[in-house]
Amino acid sequence: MSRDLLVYAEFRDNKVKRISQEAMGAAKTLAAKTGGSVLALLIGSGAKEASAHLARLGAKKVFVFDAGSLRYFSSDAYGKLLGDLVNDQKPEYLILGNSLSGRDLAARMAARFATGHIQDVIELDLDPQGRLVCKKPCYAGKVVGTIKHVKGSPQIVTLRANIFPAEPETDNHAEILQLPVDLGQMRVGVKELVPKAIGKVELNEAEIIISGGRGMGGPENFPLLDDFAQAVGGAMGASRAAVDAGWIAHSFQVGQTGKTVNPKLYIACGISGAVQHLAGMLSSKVIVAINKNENAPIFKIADYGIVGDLFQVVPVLKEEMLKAMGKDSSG
Amino acid sequence: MDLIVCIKEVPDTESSIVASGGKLNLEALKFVVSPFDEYGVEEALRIKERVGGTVKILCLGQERARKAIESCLALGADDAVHIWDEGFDVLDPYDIAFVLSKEIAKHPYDIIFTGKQGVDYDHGQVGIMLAELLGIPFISKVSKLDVDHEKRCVRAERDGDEGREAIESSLPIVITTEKGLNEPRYASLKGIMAVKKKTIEKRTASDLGIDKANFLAEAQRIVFEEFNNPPPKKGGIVIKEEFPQNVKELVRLLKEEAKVI
Repeated sequence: MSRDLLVYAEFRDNKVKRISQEAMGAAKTLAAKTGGSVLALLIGSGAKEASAHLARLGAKKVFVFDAGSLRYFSSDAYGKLLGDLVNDQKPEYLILGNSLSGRDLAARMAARFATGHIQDVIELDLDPQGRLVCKKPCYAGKVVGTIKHVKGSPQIVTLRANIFPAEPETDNHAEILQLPVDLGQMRVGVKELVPKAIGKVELNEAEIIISGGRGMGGPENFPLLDDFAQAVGGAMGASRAAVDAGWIAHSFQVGQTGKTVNPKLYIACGISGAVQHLAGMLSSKVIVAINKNENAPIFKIADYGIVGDLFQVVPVLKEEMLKAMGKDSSG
Repeated sequence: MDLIVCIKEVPDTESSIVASGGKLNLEALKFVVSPFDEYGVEEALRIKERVGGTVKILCLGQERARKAIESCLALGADDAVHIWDEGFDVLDPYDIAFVLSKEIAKHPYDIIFTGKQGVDYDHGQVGIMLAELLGIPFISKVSKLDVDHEKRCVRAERDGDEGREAIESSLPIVITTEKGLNEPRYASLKGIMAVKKKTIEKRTASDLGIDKANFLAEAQRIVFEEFNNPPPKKGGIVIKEEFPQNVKELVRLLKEEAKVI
């Protein structure tokens, strides 16, 4: 039986995305225990260009599916290629990042192979029989579940971003195998993509998040936070209250029915701290709360709090942070 | 159109959930329809209102789940199927998708809705697995849906990894629903009264042609071993200085103490 691990890696602009660098790190750690090899896979238009980076991240073999028809993610197309490769290589473990595409593919593979899949894993371990024992947050993060892959192969997991250390690059050489893209008739495909603004950091990849809630008062005030986020190289987030009020798009929502984030620094501006919001950000390394109301529940869990008017505090905070970070505040 | 909406019941999201001795005791909690599933119910009702058809609620859940089913009937769904059998309390996502697919295969369907994930375990798999088992496509985490019932196709939008995607597909299809798809309605008094006249059919494993002993022996590829409380987030400090000294002090602490900038 194979002890190999296959990592589904994602890329952008010829580089392996950080979430996949973390998946490679987790895979290498497990491989040391299983005695298997880490194989890696890239699917997409331009995948070949990112394969060198993936090799440097320690893969023994890098499989590449590169074709114009793979320009946009398709659970049908990507799923077929990944499934055929899994069928061929028979890895014991299949590891993906907990991105939207990772989640789609993992569930699809689990159904195809009638095996288990554990989504949004924050801790990974191996039992003496080589079965994965994972931890994942449940009930909006109120409890942590320990959940085991009891039977089925491959054992599939998607890893939460910003938890597992990224694998460092070495001068490792890998066998790079470009495979034919044989899709046949696909039933569902992306017709159009409105790309995210170039250079903007993803919420779930950001190291610093500046987030606004009901205290923001209206949509016209969110650019203030966005400028702050861009200036410090972070991303902007929002609470459900702001999204439901129509002030900001749902894609910015952090919380139980929004995104789960764990940046180094989460600055909550005018957010009261409802339990459903905490579900999305409580595992941030450091939480700062700025709120006019000294009794706001968020102060109970914030590492540092300022009771004050966010419109007064935020401009000064931005300036002071940029100074401390050695960045030019005129940006 | 023939629309099927899969729902599950979960503890109300306001509930206090605390692990004790590695276990959770949920008995005393209030149970509701999982929030993401509600968007599926609403979307199905809107499609029915626009082009006609039927909305069937499908639920795998214990007896208590009847309340969740009835709440969907009160919103306007036409009828329901409630699946339960002894031993079904430990089924994993694949098992659940398998059981649901057995029921779904008996009915005509154009669109099957599920929530993108249940807010208890956040497995996020049943809808996608259903599609695979039924041999039909799926689009997950949909926040906008346009259905052309004459051409029998859909155009869905979702926030993908690289940006906002517009995806097209033919029918039949599984759609997993994301917040923002619609605003779920509240039940009217008329709707609540109408529930008594609507049918909830019960099904067990044998009703679905499932050999329960075999099924349960093969079930549970993934198993929860225990639940624990996360380390409590300790409260920190509120910086007491006057503005703007408090901001300067905050930045100093972030740099020198927390070391995050």
